[in-house]
Amino acid sequence: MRCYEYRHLVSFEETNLLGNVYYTNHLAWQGRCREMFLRDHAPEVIPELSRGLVLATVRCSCEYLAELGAFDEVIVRMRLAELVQNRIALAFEYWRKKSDTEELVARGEQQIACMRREGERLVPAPVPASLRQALAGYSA
Amino acid sequence: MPGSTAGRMAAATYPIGPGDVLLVTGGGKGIAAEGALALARATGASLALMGRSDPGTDNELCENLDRVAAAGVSCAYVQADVTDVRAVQHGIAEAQHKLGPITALLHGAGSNTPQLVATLDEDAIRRTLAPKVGGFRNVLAALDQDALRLVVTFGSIIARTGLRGEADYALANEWLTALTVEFQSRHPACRCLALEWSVWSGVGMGERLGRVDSLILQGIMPIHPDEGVRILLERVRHPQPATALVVSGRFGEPPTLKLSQPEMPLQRFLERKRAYYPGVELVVDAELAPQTDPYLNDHVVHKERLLPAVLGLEGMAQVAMALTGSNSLPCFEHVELTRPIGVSEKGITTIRLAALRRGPGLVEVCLRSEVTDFHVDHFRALCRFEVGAGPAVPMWAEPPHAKPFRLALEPGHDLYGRMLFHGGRFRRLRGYRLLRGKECVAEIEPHDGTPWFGPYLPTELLLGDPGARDACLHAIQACIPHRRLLPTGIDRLIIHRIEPGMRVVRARERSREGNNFIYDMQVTNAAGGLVEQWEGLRLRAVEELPAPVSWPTPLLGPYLERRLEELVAGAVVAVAAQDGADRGRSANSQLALRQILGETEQIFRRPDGKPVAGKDRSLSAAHAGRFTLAAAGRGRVACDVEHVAERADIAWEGLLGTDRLRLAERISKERAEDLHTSATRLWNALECMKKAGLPPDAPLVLDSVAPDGWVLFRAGALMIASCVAAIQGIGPPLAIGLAVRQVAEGLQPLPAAQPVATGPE
Repeated sequence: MRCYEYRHLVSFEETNLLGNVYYTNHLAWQGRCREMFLRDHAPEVIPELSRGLVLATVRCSCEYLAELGAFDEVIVRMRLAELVQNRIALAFEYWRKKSDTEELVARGEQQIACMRREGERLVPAPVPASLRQALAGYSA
Repeated sequence: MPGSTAGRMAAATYPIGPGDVLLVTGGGKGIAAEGALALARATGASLALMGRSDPGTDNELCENLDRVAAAGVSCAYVQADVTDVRAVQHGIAEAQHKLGPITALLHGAGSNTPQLVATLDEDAIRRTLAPKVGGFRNVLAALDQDALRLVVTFGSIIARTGLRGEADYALANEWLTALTVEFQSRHPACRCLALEWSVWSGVGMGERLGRVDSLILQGIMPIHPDEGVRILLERVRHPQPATALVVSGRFGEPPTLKLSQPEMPLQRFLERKRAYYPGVELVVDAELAPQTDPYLNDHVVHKERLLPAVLGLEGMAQVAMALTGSNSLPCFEHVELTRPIGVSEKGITTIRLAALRRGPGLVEVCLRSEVTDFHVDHFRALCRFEVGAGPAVPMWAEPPHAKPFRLALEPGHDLYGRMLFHGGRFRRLRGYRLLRGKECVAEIEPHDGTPWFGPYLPTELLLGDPGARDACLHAIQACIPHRRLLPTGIDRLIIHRIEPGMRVVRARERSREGNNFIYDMQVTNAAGGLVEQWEGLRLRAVEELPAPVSWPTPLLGPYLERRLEELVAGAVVAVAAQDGADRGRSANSQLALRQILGETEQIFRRPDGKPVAGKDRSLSAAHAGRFTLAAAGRGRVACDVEHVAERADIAWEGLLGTDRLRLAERISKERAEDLHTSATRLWNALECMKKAGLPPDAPLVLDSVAPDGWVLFRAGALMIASCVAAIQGIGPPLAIGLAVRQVAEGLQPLPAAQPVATGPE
């Protein structure tokens, strides 16, 4: 199973008073991971986003298994869980990288719906072919 | 693929006939034998069967030869191995000596010894090539090739897909097809076909190798012998666009044989593709839940969420149109709504829609559910895609509604939540223009824009607004107010146009048998333009509905009419009720009678005020305060209405006489109702007898008492049905009596679909 990887180094701005990573950051990393995926594998989709294409996040979740702290090196691994009609489900795993081991610290999931803006309304739209092909390489 | 040549059915003739001789190699047994026999029977050609087996020792061969003989086919079996040039030459000479010159060839010989590619050697490959390829060459060499009018070779889909252990067999079949195509190019006048079969069930290589079961597990459906033979005949008979054709059941999804699959349209019910053979078969799943399909919450029967039939039709249209790629709507035929589809309130219920092409422009569709493990067709229909269908023909001309008149019946108050379980999106019945026991005209509200599906889901509806369509069915419920109706089928549904806006539906009963009703419906738009037609809509009464606490006047006519029909066998009496407000009694009864008789029939008045129709129909009208009841029917018909009022026993005795008061007391006891109510029933009965021309002292007996409060009296041949009902705005409850004289030969029912005014005598 191939995963798309986004690597992140935790800094103080992401930790709270107690020194661990505040929970909302995990969701932000899901967002970054999926953006970087677009940049790396489906850059054709990015200009579409300013031409009416909407990748609406329908659902987003995270399960926290262990704490993270400043200077932890995190690998967010993303794969396609499911692609049904205009809906894309992505699964995320958050791994803490030590010198030679990796520890699973969180799991996440999100669903995106491809929509198109038509005046005031959002109407369902097919997943762009380039994105579908890109995701196909990372399916479970 | 079968089906890809739908439009090219011209010039359908067999290239061979009774004077021809068909040589069949590998022809004694298996699929070649089945095909040979069918071809001989269809064309009248003689059969020269060539095979290695000895009919003296081979039972299967012997039996097949007996079958050929029994079919009256002229036949000769020659024992020869197609790989042996000399044997082939001798065999052919022998056959031609017996039957005449050979003019057609079916090459079915082959051998298949599965062997993994790693162990294949040159000898093994040569052994497999020998009968398929060498054999074909040997036979052709021994024949007069220019005399051939038909050459069919049996190959295998394995040539295209590959299969573990079948590398040599795949190669042999690929070469065989190539040889056939090449022969065709050199002999354009000869009809050549290289049919590449997938596995057959029951006969053929697959069966012999015991593979069929394991193939099914891979999504491969064997071809049934009858189906295979039918396809062979069809392909031989019709000129084909290509020499090489794959004939296959489902063949799974081998990476080596990809069909070009058009993009699935973005529609709600085409959610997950399960199987797709473009132009042939499409199977899709959709996951239903109240969140994604909020209309389910508006369609709850006995706390169970049911998929509305109109959304089932939408799903069937989506899968059928995706399969055919058609832009025009199908006509639905033989729609069967056999089992309701329950959807779980919590969690997801998966439904499966399958469409299979049955012929040119004809697609069979069914809807299944995980609840029954996808083993049962809950809904089924044939979708017919008509090319160049003629102009729409109305079932009946809809009279113009110059000033739309509406009956005093508020569906929102009187029907929905009481007789009709439908909520929200489906509550679209606006009012009635006409309501009789067997006919109604109702108005339907336009859609208010409430979404049908959950957010982010595809919104397209091919058949337009399901709510308006469903409300057409609701309209009929008022014709049968005491029994809950559910649709069970439609003979034919034609949707002429998809457009927003209000609709007018006219429904007429065609027939009734017990709890099953058949209706025709025609739906028009505000301008009177045809929107859709339902022919032979089948409805089933599934349960009794409780009587309303207080009846809306317009519902009473249909209710009384229906109950009388059920209580008195053969009674066909039309009944109408009118709330007169400030009209006079005579104007009121005129209105009520008009409701029954229509606008054209003349109504006369006798000097005593009794209404009389011009025909042999008997009319009767009765009043109580501002309320009027009218009845019309063949034979003798009478009706009476009286308010239930408290009177002293002595007053009742004076009105009814001692004997009848006794009867009232008896009913009062049996029904556990107060004596005033029972006595008023008796009064009704006496009035009806009087109106029917019976002397007041004629014997009157109690016939039966029904659990829902109806009491049946009999006075000679006159049956009198009595009920007590509270009516909206009419004060205390009314006792209603309806009398009909049973004629010995039975009362002829009026055909319901005919306008009453022009009904037969």
